[in-house]
Amino acid sequence: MFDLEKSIHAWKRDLQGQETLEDGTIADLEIHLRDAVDALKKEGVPEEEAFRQAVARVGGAEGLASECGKVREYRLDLRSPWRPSRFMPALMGGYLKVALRKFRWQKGYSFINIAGLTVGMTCVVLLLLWIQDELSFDKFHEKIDDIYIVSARIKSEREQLQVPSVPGVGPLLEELFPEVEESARFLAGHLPCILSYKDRTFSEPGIFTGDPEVLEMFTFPLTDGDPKTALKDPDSLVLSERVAKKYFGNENPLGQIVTVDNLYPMKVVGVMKDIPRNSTFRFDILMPLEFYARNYDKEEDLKGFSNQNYFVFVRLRKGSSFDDLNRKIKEFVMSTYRNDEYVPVLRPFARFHLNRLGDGGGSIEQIRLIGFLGAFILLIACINFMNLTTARSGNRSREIGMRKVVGAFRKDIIKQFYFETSLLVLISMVLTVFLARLCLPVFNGLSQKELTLGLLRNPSLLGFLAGISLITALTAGSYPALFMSSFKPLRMIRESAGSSSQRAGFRKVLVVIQFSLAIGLIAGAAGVYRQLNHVQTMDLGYNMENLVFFSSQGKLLEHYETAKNEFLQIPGVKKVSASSAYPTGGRSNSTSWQWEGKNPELKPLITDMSVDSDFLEAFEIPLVQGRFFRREGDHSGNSGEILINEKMAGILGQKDPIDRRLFWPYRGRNYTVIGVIKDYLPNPSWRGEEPLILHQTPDSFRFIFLKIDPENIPQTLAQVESVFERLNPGFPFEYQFLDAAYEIQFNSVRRTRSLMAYLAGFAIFISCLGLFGLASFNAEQKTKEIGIRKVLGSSVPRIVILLSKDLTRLVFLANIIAWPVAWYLLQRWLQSFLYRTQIRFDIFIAAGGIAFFIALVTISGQSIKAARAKPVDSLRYE
Amino acid sequence: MISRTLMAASTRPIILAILSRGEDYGYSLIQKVKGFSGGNIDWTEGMIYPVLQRMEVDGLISSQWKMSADKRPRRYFRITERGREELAAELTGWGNVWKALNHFAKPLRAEE
Repeated sequence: MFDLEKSIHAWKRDLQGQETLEDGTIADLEIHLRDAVDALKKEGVPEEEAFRQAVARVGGAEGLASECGKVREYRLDLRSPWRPSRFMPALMGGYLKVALRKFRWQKGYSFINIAGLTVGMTCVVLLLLWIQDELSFDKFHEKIDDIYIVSARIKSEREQLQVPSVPGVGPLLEELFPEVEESARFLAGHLPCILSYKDRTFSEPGIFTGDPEVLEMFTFPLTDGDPKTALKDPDSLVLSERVAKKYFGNENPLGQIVTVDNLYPMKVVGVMKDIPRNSTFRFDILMPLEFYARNYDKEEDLKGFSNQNYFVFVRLRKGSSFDDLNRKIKEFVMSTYRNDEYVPVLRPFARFHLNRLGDGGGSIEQIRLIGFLGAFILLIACINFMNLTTARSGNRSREIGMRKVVGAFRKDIIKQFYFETSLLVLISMVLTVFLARLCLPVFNGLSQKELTLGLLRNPSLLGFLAGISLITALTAGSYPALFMSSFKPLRMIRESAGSSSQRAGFRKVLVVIQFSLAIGLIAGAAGVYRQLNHVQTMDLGYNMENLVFFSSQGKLLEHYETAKNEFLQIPGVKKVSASSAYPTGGRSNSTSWQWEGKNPELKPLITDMSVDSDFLEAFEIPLVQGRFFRREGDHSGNSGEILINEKMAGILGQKDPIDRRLFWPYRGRNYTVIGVIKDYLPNPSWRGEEPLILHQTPDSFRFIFLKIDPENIPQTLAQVESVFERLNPGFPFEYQFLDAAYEIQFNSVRRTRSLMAYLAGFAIFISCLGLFGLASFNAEQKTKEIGIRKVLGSSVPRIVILLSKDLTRLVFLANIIAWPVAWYLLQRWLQSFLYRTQIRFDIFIAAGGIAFFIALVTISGQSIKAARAKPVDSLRYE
Repeated sequence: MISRTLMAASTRPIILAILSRGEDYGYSLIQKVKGFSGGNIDWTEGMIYPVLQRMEVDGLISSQWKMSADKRPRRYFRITERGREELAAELTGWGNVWKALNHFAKPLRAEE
């Protein structure tokens, strides 16, 4: 008997078997069927027949399912219904579980991987902070983009660009060219002054003298006082908060009178904020140039064009081009003076710190060097990471095969690998932030900076970190993700963990790159170290040991001969001398000297220095010809005698220089050459041997030198101090050793040197971590082979050789690549130095040797471990 | 009888046209077409549902389950604004096709 309900139910079951037919659609179809059956029954068709006809009209389940499937695919953005959605949260948990399990099983690898990347990234973060700080120099000046420093292109024997400029040029430019809004001058004081207020007396080294405009052009904000009127009064000065506190404590400094050099009363008219560390010019006291000119006999100097010790700045009107102005200035000089021996050149102050002139290059060279090193380390760390990740992935071909068999698509495998590498990178990043914070104090000590790791306040650093993480995760993850996932599952399961030659080849290339970089870094560091050492220890032509010097302030000069005799009475003092030049820098030079037969085309820049009769003996500079100033001769400065160095003698010409007469317009008189001294370099900032004239003008002595006995130095110094205080009451006795003062100049060189050494060390460390990982991986791969060899009678040394052969060959290859590149780069770097050391081949041999040795130790450690294991264990290993 | 391709092309416009007169459900749509065409347009009845689904995805019609007078729940379809636009476009299209077909199917006259 036909049962309609049962038949409809069966028909529905058939439809429900089709995956793409949703319940709603099935309900639609069922009602449709019932309607059709009812209609047919009304026409008088028997129930069973009506059902059959209605089913035929509605259509077959498969056809309907296929049509509905198409609609659903269309609706789901063309994804077929049996494909899972793109993001499946449930699987993430699975990935995480697998990744963590991998970390747990392979603790060693994971540690090496994360440690290498963390150390590398930390180096890079610190270097980046350093570079950021260097680039931030002077940027706090609000008008920085319009401020230009006036330098001079001087054509003497060779063209050179000189920064401290002549004071007259600023007002002149302002007068001549409408583009110049204002000008201001600094004298970056090398004159230490004695400042006293009530009972507080200190020698102040950080004194600048400047035009009143300085306070408006630059951003040295005053916390007290008016920048518009401050310094207009020549007997006024501005103090930094730090110094104001030192003298006045909690008193209000404004309007107080301090005494300068125990002579000149000056009024405090302003207190400025302490100048930040990233300022090229840092001073604590600013005095008006006018005061300096009036009281130190420099009024003519200030208007003139001869004293090249001034920092002259101009501020241009908005929108004017300094290139155009430079051209105009040159045209003006050419049309006015008919020569281009001395042309003022404007250079942006914003780049002044980076492009400082001087030996060893400006800071931009250092930034390049550091940037290079950072990039190297980063590359090494990333290669390490990639290498280990790919090596480890080799072990997983079986897992991938299984996943594929069970139904994973290639995409899922790719996702899984990316997820794992991203997780590793993420862990490293977090550790990097901690490690960088931990290392920052050490790094600050090394770099003499006060850097802070304000990640949130430093979006560019944050962005950089994120970018690097992404790149590392992508590149390190890509190889296993894209390559491993492409294999046929059957092959992967059958061939198991064997390292395919293609993969091994890729790793070899990476190892070679990594070691080339490391060897290059060691060689580079050694080369840089040697050069910097060379500069620091080269023979300057005089002996600075046991020389103590102090400033000849107060009454010392008035009775110089008496003072000298008093000092000589002290048993420990062997020689006493005086000079006008700061021993390790600063000098006065000019092109104005004239002599008979001087080539008018030639305008050499000649340095002059006033010294006393014991200078040569105290400094142990050899006399080449003639005689030195007579000790019992005329000390008044009117003898008209001078000595010249060999370079100057060369400029004077072929004739015997003795008794040649030279005219010095600055003093307005003639001088007679009485002797020639050997060339010497007061300091390495001298650009080679330069012409020098020594004269004896006691009123310009500024420093007194004592050559003392190396025995009993403290006792001697105590005696010197008591003599000093007796002769010069009211002035503090502040002395320095010349060699120590000389060393200070090399602080930055020393910093670069130790930084290089550290970085090279880190590079090697990271490379070796990687090599260690690879070596142990290699040994693990060959566990079975080693077992079989041992069973067959192979000895431990032979197995070690077998295992080490490959990697050592790679390190050797890396040497061959690294040497020429490092040599070339070193040569280029050395070009920035005037006194260059020879790059000898031994540093390359040494660098290669070190890398080789470390690699060998790392590899053989692992190899020996593998080789000495019992064959039974290794054969059973699986 | 009409060809399969013509049927495929005409299904959607015809459904839109019927729905433009008011809401309706699947079985009724089929009956109306069949009744009007005298059986010349003969759809496989079940196949109307995937078409309706697709039209709904495309936003031409919307649907709602309702209890009808004979106490059966039915899914009623209603034309949307976008459906009306589509219908207008289809009418123009079909009109053009019809004009061209009609025109060229006539025997050639002397002046042409």
